[in-house]
Amino acid sequence: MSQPETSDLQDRVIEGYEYDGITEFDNPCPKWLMYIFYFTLLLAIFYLGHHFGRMSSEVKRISVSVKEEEQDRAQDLEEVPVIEEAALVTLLQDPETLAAGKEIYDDKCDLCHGDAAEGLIGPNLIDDWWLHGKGTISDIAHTIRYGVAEKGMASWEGRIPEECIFQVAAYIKSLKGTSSDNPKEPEGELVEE
Amino acid sequence: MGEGQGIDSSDVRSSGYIQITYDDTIVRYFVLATLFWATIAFLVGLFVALQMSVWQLNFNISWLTFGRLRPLHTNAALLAFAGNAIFAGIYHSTQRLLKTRLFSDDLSRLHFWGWQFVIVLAFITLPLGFSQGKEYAELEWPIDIGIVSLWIVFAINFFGTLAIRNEKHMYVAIWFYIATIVTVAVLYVVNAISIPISLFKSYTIYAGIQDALIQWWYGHNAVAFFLTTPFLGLMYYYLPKAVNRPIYSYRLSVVHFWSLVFLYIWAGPHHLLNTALPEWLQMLAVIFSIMLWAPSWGGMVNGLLTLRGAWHLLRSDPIVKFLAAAIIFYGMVTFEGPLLSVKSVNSLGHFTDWIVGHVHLGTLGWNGFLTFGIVYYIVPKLWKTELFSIKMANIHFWLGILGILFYYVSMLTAGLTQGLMWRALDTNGRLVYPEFVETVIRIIPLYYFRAFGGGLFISGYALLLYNVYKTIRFSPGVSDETVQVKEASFAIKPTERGHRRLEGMVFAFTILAFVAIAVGSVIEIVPSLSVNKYVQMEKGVDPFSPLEIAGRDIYIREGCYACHSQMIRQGQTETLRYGAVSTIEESLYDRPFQWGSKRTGPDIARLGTKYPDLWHYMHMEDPRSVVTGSIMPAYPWLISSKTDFTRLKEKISLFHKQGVPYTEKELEESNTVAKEQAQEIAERLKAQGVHEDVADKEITALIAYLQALGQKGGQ
Repeated sequence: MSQPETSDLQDRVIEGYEYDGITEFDNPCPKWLMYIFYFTLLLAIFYLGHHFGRMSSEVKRISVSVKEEEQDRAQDLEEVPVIEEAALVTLLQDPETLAAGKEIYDDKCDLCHGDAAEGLIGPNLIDDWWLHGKGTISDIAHTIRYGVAEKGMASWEGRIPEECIFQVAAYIKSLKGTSSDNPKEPEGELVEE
Repeated sequence: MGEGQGIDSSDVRSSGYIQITYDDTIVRYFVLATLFWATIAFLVGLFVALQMSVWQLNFNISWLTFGRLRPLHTNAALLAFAGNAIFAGIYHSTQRLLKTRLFSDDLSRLHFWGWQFVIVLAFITLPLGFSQGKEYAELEWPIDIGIVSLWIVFAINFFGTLAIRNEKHMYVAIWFYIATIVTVAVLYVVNAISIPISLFKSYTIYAGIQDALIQWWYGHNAVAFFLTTPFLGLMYYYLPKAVNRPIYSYRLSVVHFWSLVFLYIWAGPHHLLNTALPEWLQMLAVIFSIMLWAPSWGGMVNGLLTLRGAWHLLRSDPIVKFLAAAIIFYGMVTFEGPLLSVKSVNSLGHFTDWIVGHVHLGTLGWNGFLTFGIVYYIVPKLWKTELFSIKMANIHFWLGILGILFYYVSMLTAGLTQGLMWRALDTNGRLVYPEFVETVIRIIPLYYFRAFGGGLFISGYALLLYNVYKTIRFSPGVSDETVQVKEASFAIKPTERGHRRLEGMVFAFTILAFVAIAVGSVIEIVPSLSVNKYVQMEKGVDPFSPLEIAGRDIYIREGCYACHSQMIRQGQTETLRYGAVSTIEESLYDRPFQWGSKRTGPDIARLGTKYPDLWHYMHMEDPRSVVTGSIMPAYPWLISSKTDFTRLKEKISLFHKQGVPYTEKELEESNTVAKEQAQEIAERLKAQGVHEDVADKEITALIAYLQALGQKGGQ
């Protein structure tokens, strides 16, 4: 075992302790490392104090923000524009609206209602039978917006931009009476127009 | 641990020399086993990584799905790769540091073959879905017993070796080995306690929050005492040997060893930040994680400063390159760990790929590179020859570095991207990305980069395999090393004080190490054992029905928890996305808890009633039929396999004995109750358009469980 070179350094090897040729220097712990340690101790104390000091106010803040959230939501509900069906029906004449509605339908709705809205997991949307409402554009928009939790229909409020909900609803309305090879059997009440 | 071993403690006989032959054969065995299992662990890792980018890669075969292979990958990396590497290194270095042959050749052989046997059992049972459903502790109870028994064999062999040593003082490496052996035994046994239902099915005795706390006390400290302390011990031996330099500071060794061992154990609950875990435990975890920074860096600093005066070796010697890089990776990981343990950082990084990147920085960079360095050092010595190709080892080094960087950077980016997308709100306070799958599709390109990084790392490793193979082939023949050693005097010198004196006292040292890890463990765990303190029973929680329990067992078997959490954390965006914050009460009866640690898919704590039964049916048959762009595997076998009702009654009565309030009817007629519920679901499915009768099929039980999530009260 050759002697380790120590001449270039001021370190002193601890005598009398040698393990399979390994010796140890008698150096102190590096100061900067100890400073990091003391710093983390202070940080820990500060973090504790800060956290528990804030905890009570935090709970308040969160409950306030939840309340605000609920108020916002309530406001949102009020803000939903009430549009007369007569006005909505004009959307059926607007190819851009229908194209935009179709795009969203093909992205989000077709998985459960089928490519041709013939019904799959969810009900058939091209026949004359309706489960929720009477199949008007505003009824369809209502179901899209709030969902039907007990049937597994999701609420799309917030997941589809507000203005697009009517586009999808109009698109669905426009499909009425179209045919499909494999329609789901009717559900709900027959609505005759 | 006798200190004298009958050696006359007067100095008379210590002038004598004795001849010792080290048991290098067992070290050669463990080295080859390390290389063999590392190959498999790495390849399984690459395979499951590719499944993240190309979901088809499970070929619709149950035992190739991510949920079943992920435990195989983690257990292989931990027990098979790191485990064998640790045993090789410890057996090799301990003999030389203590100047004695291993205590018992028979125990060494038993340890080796037993361990390989247990790994083979793990490799068979995990893909088959035999799982306790606890991360890094999936192995079922017979294998647990095997592992614990073999650990005891290892402990006897190791402490026996200490007892017959010819070197009075234990070098720092030995301290780390002692801490490893003691702590791993405690962690593994406490976490694995479970009650068997059959040969390959058992339930942990801990429920809900208790289970969460104990599992992550174990999980975190498995990293600490299986992937950190033993490897630090190895570093303290192989680094000074490789560069032929004294350790930078003995005092630093002492200070950072004890502070590390004492502080590490407290930090476990930082895996459960912002969850339903009681606040004081989360706070303890945060502050102890922060305080862990400097003690962890103590190892890095002592390692790197030992290289002073030997830096030129970094240019020429691949062994030194690997060791130095490993130490730097260790420094990076142990800085990132405390950072991720700060609650606000954690709320962004947790459940994302950042954590996956973090842990791989540790395992590939620290454990992997340190092991490679040791292999390049040890193989030529053990086979009495020179390394076949230095150049090849250098190429391996650079491929490995590149691989790790690709891996880490892509995972960090993926984690930050997804974490920020999950919490992004528009000006109206609505989620910008309400569809979870959008956030998955966004990061898939990064999964390719990750797999590429893994591929680079493995191609470098292939060079190591070839290099080792050629080295061994050119070996002139092996023989175990024989040395003349001076008999040690165990007399206590009056000049020896403090820690030096302790270094000669194995028993006292071991007890102190045990106390150091026991303090934090007891303070954190014991209060949670009387969990009632934290639970408001008036919130009223119903247990899962017998059929839902059957479904839950399928959920555990398929390893769903590897990708889905059931824990809605505190925070506005979590609530907007998943619903009200999860409570302690909701998982009150869950054995094991299934809070999860990664969201490759969305949280499902409140999944119940969100979709119709038919949606779940179609989703399991082909996830892409209802979620465009999903990367979840399909589970067609759930539709054809029959639900196992046979032991349902035993399961329900076991839970009942542990205090779960089942009704008389559920208890006495578990099967009938389950079958009735299954019939109801099957009829609903039929009404919705499923043609087959699936009442007795697994899909029905699973749907029952999924529809029950978040529906049992406790909010």
